[in-house]
Amino acid sequence: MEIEVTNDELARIRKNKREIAERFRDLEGLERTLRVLKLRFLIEQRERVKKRLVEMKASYIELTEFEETAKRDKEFLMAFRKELSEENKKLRTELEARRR
Amino acid sequence: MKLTVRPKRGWRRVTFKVPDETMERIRELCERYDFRVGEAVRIVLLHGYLEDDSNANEETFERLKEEISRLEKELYELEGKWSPLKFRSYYIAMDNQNLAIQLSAMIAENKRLRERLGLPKRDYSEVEEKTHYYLNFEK
Repeated sequence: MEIEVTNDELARIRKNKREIAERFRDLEGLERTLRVLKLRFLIEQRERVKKRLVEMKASYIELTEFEETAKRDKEFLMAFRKELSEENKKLRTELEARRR
Repeated sequence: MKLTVRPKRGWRRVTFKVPDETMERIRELCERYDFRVGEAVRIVLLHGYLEDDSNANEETFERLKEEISRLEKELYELEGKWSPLKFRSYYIAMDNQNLAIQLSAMIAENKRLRERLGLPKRDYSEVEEKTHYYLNFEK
């Protein structure tokens, strides 16, 4: 089996060869470490998903509000267009009548 | 088993003789706790061992996994609703942008007609606020 490391890591490994050999004999210590790391990873994963959910909820609420506002604005703009179209038509007729 | 540790660059290597049963046990532990063998070996080589934590047990792992799964389900459901909502609101905003373009021309005409007919100016502030917003709406 081959493990690739950086030059600094290799220097540390060369220096700690005896402790490393001891750690290979202490597999209970390895099991304990993997167990603790698994706990940390699961907690980190939960926090990551929680954060994404909070962000997504905020974004969803913001978009819902935007949609509601846009719908109301659309109704308002359409009503104003109708009103202005009628008024412009009336004013154009008035202007034409004055010209005659 | 011979374990060779080599640098990314350079030729110097360190080797360890690890008994096969030790490697087998490491493999078992990795399978049990969802780690790759390489990761476990790096822990042995470089990081050393951690102090125990009373919460690091199967019961807590199960509880956390269930919690993550519940949160992910909620997240995916919301993501599923978000996309059509985004699509709908985008098209409403685009409709409003088209209305804003039409209204800008109509307001200009209305101003001109009122001026020529000597009529008082009309207040367009509310509609202009909205048309400006939608004209600048980014696609």
